[in-house]
Amino acid sequence: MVGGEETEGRVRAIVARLARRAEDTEIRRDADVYRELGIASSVALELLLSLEDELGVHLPDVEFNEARTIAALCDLIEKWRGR
Amino acid sequence: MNIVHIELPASISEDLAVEIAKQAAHASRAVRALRWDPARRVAAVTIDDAARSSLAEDKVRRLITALVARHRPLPKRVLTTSVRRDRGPLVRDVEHRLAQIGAVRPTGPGTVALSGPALAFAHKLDALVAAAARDRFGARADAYPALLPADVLHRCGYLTSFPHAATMATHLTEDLDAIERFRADNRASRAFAPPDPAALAAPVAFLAPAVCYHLYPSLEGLSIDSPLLVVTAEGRCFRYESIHMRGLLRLWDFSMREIICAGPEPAVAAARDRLLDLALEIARDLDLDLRVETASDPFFSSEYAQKTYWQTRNDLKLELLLDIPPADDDRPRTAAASSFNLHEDHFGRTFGFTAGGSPAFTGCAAWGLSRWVLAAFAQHGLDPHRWPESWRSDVFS
Repeated sequence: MVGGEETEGRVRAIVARLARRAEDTEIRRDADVYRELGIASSVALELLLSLEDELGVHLPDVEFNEARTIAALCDLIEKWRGR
Repeated sequence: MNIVHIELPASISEDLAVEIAKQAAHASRAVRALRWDPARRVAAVTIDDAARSSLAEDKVRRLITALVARHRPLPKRVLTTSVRRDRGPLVRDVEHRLAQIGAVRPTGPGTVALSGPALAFAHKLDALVAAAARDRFGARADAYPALLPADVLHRCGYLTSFPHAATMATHLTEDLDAIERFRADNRASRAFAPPDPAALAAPVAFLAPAVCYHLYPSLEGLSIDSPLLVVTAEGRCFRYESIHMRGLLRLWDFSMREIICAGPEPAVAAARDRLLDLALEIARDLDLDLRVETASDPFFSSEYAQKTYWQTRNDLKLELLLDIPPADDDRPRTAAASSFNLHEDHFGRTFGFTAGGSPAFTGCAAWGLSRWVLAAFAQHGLDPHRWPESWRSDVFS
């Protein structure tokens, strides 16, 4: 089972990879991952599938669409974990 | 003919099944058709060459794997529908009838000549859109060549998104022997004798697949200070569709009228909505059965999943679908006669033009004139009395 801190660490790592940032620790929890961190919206599917594959959770598309920050993505993963 | 069956582990969405059926023709020249079972789990692939069957099958399997992998279907949304007042039936053999009066004449693979009422209709539609672009959107009118530099199309991303549809322009290389050999071969032959591929120059230009690609490189370095830059142009567009090029619905070479916008995101998005309204106004004046849906482009193979998800998720592409006669299997069909597209800041970033200090957003609306011809004549036929009065005299003068 992946806990809250570990979830955030993994989300940060995935976001950093897709945003092509070397240091995931520089990413603010409330930064918009598309507009502020520079993940191209055209790779949203890769973000979604990476989160699902690496955290073992299925995320509904509509809610994923609304979750645009590290914090929101972590909340979404916690909400759907184990369902 | 050889039919091979490819079974998937699970059923796939209807949109993906349709796209696979279209793209399979690009996997191998031996592929003649790909049809799905009703559950869309087993594909029956018709291959015309027994000797190449296993090779073709392998290519189709790899293409399907690439298209299915990581595909995440999102539902399409219907934004609006409209039903025509003319209750006459759809004209099933409309293209045959147009051909009989010389209004549409097939001239080669994926090419037609228009004349008479079909041409009059296309001209009127084009003039209406051009006038609205000028009067309602303050559009500048441009005219573009058919050729587009290869570097521009590459920068636009077309060669990674739609490599299968690109049409390259080439010529005999500057070589006396190669030119003379080509001439001698054709002099000696009653039919066209293609050149040795080694005699062809590496292409430096493409036949443009869309009108708007011509505009973006000209904006390089520009800062758009007025609320919105709007340009309109009509031009020939070229999209290779292999065995699917048939009639007015799927031409290799067709005319499009586009209205292209560049500026800040909210202004471009608002303009897209107004462009959709313009198309609906014209279609309703024409009294056509229609609906507007969210849509995505036919990205090739491995790009399909990611890019269609991106477009659908963000409502980047809307299509105006006009009813046309059913296919041989009697399933209802529509023609995507116009599209209304947002590109986010892709072209602003790629070509370095800005609005308000940030890369500009762009969008475009396109009217595929031959598809409008097909749908209008399919829905109203060749009897002028079935046509709305506002179009009748111009189309049938």
